[in-house]
Amino acid sequence: MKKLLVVVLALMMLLGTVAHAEIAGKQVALMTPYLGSVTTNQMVEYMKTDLESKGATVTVINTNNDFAMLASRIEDVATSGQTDAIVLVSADPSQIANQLQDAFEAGIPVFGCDSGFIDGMAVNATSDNYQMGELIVKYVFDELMGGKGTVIALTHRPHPGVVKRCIAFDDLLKEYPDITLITEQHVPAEQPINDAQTIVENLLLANAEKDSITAIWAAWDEPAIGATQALKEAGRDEVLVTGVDGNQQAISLIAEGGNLKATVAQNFEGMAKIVVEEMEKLFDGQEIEKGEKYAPATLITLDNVNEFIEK
Amino acid sequence: MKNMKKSLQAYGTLLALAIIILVFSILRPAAFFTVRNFINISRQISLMVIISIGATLVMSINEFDLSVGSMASLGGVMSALMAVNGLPLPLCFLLPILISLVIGWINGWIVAKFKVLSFITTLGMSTVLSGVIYRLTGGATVFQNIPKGFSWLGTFKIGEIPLLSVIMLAFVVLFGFIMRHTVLGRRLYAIGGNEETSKVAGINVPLYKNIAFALCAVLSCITGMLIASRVGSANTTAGDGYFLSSYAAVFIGCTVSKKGIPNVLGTLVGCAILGILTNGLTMLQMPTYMQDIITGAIIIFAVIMQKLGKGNAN
Amino acid sequence: MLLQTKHLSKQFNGIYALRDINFSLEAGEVHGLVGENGAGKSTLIKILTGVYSLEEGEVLWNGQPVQLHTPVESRRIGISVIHQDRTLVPTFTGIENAYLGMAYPCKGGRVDWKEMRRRVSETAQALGIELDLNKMAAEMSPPQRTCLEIVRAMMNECKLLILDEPTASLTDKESELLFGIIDTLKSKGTAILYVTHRMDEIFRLTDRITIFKNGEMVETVWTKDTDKDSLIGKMTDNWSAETIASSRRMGEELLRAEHIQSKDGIVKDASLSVHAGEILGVFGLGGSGRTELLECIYGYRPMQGGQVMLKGKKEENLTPGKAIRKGLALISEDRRGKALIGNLAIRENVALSCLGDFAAGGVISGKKEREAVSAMVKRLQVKMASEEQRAIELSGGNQQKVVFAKTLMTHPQVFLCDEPTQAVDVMTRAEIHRLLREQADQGCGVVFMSSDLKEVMEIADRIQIISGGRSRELLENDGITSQQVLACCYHQ
Repeated sequence: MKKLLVVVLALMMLLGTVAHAEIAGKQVALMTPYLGSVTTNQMVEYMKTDLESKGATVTVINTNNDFAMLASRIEDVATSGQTDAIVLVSADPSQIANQLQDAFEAGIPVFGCDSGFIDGMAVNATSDNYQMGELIVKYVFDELMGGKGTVIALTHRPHPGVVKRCIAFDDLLKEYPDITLITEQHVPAEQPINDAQTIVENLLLANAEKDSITAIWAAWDEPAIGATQALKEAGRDEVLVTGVDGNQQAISLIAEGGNLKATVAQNFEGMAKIVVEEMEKLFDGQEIEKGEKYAPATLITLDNVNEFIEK
Repeated sequence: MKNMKKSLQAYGTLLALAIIILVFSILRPAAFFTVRNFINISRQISLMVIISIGATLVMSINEFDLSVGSMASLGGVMSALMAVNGLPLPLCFLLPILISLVIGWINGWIVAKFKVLSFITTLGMSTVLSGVIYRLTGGATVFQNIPKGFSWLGTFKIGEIPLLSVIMLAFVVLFGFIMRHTVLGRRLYAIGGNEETSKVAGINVPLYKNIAFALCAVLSCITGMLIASRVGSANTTAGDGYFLSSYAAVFIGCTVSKKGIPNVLGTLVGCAILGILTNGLTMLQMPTYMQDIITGAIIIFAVIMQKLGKGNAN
Repeated sequence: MLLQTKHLSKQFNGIYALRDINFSLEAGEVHGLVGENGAGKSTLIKILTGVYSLEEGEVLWNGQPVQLHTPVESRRIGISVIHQDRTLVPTFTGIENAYLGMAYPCKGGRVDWKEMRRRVSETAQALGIELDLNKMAAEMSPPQRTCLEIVRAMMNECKLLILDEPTASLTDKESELLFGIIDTLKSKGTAILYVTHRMDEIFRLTDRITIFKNGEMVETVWTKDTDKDSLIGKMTDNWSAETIASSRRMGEELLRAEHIQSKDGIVKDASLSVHAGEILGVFGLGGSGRTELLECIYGYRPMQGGQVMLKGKKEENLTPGKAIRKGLALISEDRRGKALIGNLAIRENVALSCLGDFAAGGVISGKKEREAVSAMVKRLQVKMASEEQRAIELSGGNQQKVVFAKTLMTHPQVFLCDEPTQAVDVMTRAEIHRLLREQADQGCGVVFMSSDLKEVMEIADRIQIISGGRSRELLENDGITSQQVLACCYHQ
């Protein structure tokens, strides 16, 4: 009898994850136009597994890069009345604001996962570009440069995400009087690796003395890769390079132990986790704070790079 | 005075190039005017030169190919994907060339057969190719599992000289020769000069249009593959940036020719001007916006000089 | 005196195109201006219309010196010009074209189309021109376009109308229409400067004639006091009106075209036959389909029906390339549009159709090419600075010689010549006639098409009449009169 009680209790404990969980039996629609993208796919898979383990029924809707189709599918979902929650994955909600309005009016909560936030939505989980910028710039200035030296910045300010990293760079640069900016160069987005390589080659010839450049800070990984290749060819192994994003080519260069020292990985799994947690709270009847929620980014250096290499 | 004006027309662009080199040499003597830097510049412009030769061919028949950029992107993506999937490396570079040949041929065929403006045809083709790239890659850069040997073409050096510079030079010589000294080149210029006259003179105009577009696509594809080989990954938009600058180079190149027609050597000069400007201005650590302003102004200036010279000749 | 020039000169690159011209024009007269190509006629026109700036000498307008720096200034004082190459906007209607360069009348901020139509049709009526002004210029026939240009010129008060080879692309009947308009203008007091190579028109229309030679003015004569031969004598240094003696030995049939029908329906059912040793004149009025017939035979224009036989052998699906290999050659009437590449060098133009002769494995031997081209341009006496000069820079006559040089390079057996002497100076014209006769004597066949009937009668052995897209009579050129020929054209 006692044993039975234990089993029952244990079961209740198990369900306990769901005990505060009317999430069981809910219909959740994960909607994205970009299931082909690696990171989007990763987030969708994580949420799907997590939600299903908690007893929800999950439908994944992918519209293959087609925003108009995404808009109509949201209309379908909003009017069918069978869905309890919508998660937009990697899709800018402002482009489908009218259709989302239908969902809001139907009382269906809309979450965003690396999407964006508009009024009416519950929560969007994303990374904070300013925080990512801060994280990597501090690492460059403190750990790599020891608070002094010269730096070159490779940027692309027209991009709404990248520009926040650049602002973090500007802000921090003011706090380090012993660090001088040699030049900031804009890298076009079409072929950033090749262009960054050309730019850095030219700058290296203009600053040919060893140690005349301490570090190159790139606002995302591709120019960092181009800079690394240029440095390698010129044999300037004293110059330190960092990127942001954590793309695989950058990660493998960090693992090789060359000029590229660090990057910042966006925490996509963390974003997915935030969405599931907030959804649970909502179905549980708790108040949730509407707006953007940030998944803290992770610094990748030679020390932890092995965890990030995809097999 | 008149003679000066005349020589300004014929050699104005070359003079501009010389002045640019002189100015940078004075401002950055140690870094700019060095053998090493010129080798460096030759490599940096090599890709633009190859794709611009393609644009030169199509412009020589008085048509436009707006799909050079996306053709280059596709070339890089195809070849990288083939390499990732374990095809023997020579095939990874040969198959995309064949595919681009067909694509270019289709461009030419549509333009010649249906008399559609090449502007529109190739704009459409460019969009189609972007779609194909997206289908192939899902929009992501192709990087994972690219074999080491894939990068050989783009990074190998013969002594101090990058293989890319040598490849570029080979294309300049080859197509310079074709355009000047072969039946093919002569007929392309004839068609560009006057299509109807060429037809009456017995030239198979549609055939030569096909050839021009096909060669242009092949050169674009080669450029794209070399970019991919150079950077060790294939960005889905890697070639797009070359579209405008390649035509800028061809236009500057026209000003080098007395007749004002597209020519391979002129295109090389055009690319050199653009490449040296980028190189020198970056060395001066000029902010990017200033580089854009100066480069654009020089393009406009070169074309005005030519027009002025021409007005005088009449 | 309406217009007077005093010691007017113009030079290009140190060479005088015009030297010391003292020329005058009265209101209400029709004044002919004649001279070989390159005599300076065009330069004078361009100075009077403000295209070229005046550097030496002066222009008096009603006795007052005037400055003509731009075409607008020239038009404002009342000088208008109608060129060989018409200057209409093809996609504009007659009304819009008539208003080109003029302010549109507005009513309440909107263009007042009614007012425009009224003014244009008023002008047209006053000149006795009947024209559907709502048609686009592109839809109009050549004479309609000429009429439209005249209407346009008369929209402003035009005191001097310059006509530059206005009948070049008109048939005789269409020309008559133009001459009627000229009479009307004259009676209204408008002065007309009439520039042409066509002697008949000069004698028929003008009151006085000014002769230019090598950039200098020879003299101005009263038309009634001169005749054709003396006029021609003044234009050229050594010219004698020689008639080409025909050997009249007809050989085998080289080309036979039967029941040709073009896809666009312009040629309906035309046949012709050319024998070795003969010059077959082809004559038809404008719109008769003569140009199109030649283009069909040559494989340039798509055919609907009929067949082409070369030396008795039927040829299927001829293309220009194939036609050239089979010994056909087409001298197109549209020299700039279909026969020359203006921007390319003379050498490149001449070698265009026969590149294969100098090439091995697709690579051209520059030496062989230069030798062959030099020999040919020397033979035809092309006047040029060098073989590398651009074709567009040559005078009309020399351009046409380049076209002939190109054609001869392919050693054709049958020449299809469409208006080969159009806008060509008298000397070149005679040379072309001689050349074609030579070719015929050597066993070639020549088709000679011209809208100048006199010229056709001067050179042809037989004359094929074309009318309404169909071939009509074939006349032996043996004592026939122009009236007989025209009768065949008109009475169908």
